[in-house]
Amino acid sequence: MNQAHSPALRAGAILVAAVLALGACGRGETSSSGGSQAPGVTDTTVKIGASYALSGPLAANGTAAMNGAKSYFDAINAAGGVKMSDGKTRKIEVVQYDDGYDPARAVQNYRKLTTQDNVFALFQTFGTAPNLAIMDSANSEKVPQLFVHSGAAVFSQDQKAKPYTVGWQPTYETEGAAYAKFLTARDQDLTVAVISQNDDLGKAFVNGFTSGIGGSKVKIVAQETYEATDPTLDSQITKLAASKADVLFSAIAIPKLTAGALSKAAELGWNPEHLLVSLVSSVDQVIKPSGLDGSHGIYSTAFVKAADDQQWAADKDVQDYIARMKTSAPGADPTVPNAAWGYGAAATLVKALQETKDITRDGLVQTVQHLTGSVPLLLPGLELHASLTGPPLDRLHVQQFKDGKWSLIE
Amino acid sequence: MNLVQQILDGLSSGSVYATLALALVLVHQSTGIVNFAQGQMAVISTYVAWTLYDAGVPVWAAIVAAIAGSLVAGALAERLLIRRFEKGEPLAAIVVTVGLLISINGVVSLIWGTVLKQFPSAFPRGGVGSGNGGTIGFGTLGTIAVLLVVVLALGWLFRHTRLGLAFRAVAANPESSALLGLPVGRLLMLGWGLAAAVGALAGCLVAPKLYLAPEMMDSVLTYALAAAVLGGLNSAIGTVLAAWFIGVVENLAGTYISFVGGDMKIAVPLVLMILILLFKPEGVFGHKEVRRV
Repeated sequence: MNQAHSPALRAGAILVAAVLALGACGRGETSSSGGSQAPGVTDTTVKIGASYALSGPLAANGTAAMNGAKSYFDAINAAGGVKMSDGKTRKIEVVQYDDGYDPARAVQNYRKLTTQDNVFALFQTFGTAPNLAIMDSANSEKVPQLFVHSGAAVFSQDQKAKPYTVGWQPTYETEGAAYAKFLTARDQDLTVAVISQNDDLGKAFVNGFTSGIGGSKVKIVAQETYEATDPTLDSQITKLAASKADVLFSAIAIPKLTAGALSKAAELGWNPEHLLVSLVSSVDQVIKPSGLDGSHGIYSTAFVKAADDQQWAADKDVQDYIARMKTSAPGADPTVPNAAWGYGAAATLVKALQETKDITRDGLVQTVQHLTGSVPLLLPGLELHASLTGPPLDRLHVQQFKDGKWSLIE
Repeated sequence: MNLVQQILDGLSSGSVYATLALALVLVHQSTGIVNFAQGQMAVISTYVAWTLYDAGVPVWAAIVAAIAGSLVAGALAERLLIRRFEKGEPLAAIVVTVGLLISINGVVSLIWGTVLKQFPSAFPRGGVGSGNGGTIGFGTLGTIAVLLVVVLALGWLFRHTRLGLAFRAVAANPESSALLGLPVGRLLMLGWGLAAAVGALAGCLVAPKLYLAPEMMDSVLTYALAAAVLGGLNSAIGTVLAAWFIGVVENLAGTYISFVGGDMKIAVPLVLMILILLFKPEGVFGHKEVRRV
């Protein structure tokens, strides 16, 4: 058999051997956990799985979410771990894979996490489409899919039917409604131009906003959509600029497109108040690249304390967060909102693990469905508020970009 | 105002497509391959320029250095990687370029991360015109000027120099060219090097507008390919005109044809590409490939 000597085949054989050896290690680890405990739980560790967009168009957001969560888990582990109801303290072990924001790859990752890595629960899987792709499997296989990193209502609105899946952040509808309230509260005639992504995400923002301004003096005078694959939004912004609206509600979910839209409007001599969605409110990723100084009003919604907002400079939560990000993800930017959300969601998971009485997947879901109280970084007045019809966070505040950073509007 | 502005916006985005399309045409003209990694190679070159700029080098010097570096790197990519696939199935070479696209994307994310970088414009901020008559940015005007210079230079190179003749001979028939004593290997290397250099220029020109990120050129590639096909894959000026045409038609269709709208705009270049391939496969400005049998 001369084929046996081909270098490619030999390399293949070595690879297979290596994979088998790794697999064997993995199994060894699981079997030492003892048969009676839930999947992924040993006497000293609890294994959590995640799938993030670490490449592709949303890689910056996905990486930030991952880093934020990591910095919280690292801090908990460094202090010993999570003290759980059986009296044992367990370290959190996170297994994560890149899905490139591709639902098909997210499903593969889900398979790997549940069958090979044997995780206790999925945590903060990133994005609407990847989470939708795994939601049905997770529920029929009874794997908790907790605090998904998406504001789509579908993950939280019917937890009777899909008890294993739940979101964390306020929904996109809530965000649109928060802006509607912000504008209608002024009680003056305002014209609004709207641009949104041509999918469920864009529609959710717009629906929340439209129903919120119903019967008020705020009127939508122009509306455009875009595709996530558009290189620029120049054409759409030019059309909207013709309306000369007072306010531009940018339900744009991609940082570079938001930055481009801001600067295009200015280039055309159209200076509306810009309402940005919380997904793309990063100063470094969006506002600085746009070249705008915010003198005509740039707003964003928020539910966590922005790391660059001076009013929190002395806040213990924010100081801890910035210091932990520095330790766990040196070089990562703590002002990217996804990082702060990842941190808060990680804290929520740790809180749930601490409070879970029955340490099984079902027991964890039970706890999550009744979770209340506070976690680090939430804005004043906001609290976890579990319900079977919505995510645990259901309110937002509006903040304004001033002097190079975000400041909360009282 | 809307009509004029939409046309100007179309020219502006058309210029973005044209820069990358020129590099695609150059590599096709000199080696006969369509290089799907061209945009991604341009991105890594732009990151190199950004790194130099970030370290304090003036922006023009950084761009020139990145172009020079890309010339060498492009030639090396041909010699070390593509050379092995040039003689076999044309599809194999194309698949290799797709592989190159994915790998370079990974390398860029690894080295520079995925957070947007602001690339400084080599041209002044602002523009000409007023809000009422339509405005066009200095960045776009500068890009158009550079495009025209590149087109003229390439036209001169391919039509009026021995090197250009040799390039065309090698692309048309590598074996006969080798028998005639042309240094085929070196010419192919140079072709890739030149395309990478034009790509680097393209990247640096569009980065201030599209913002520098690992996937900056992904969305542009579709349009650039459409422009290259429409222009005939062999004509530099045809490609630029095709790119402007696509940019303008896309905007006007999006604005004035109600069922197209903002979200169906992207279909415009694709439909054009299909029509051209069906009815005039050599492109509007290309010439027919004639083969004697």
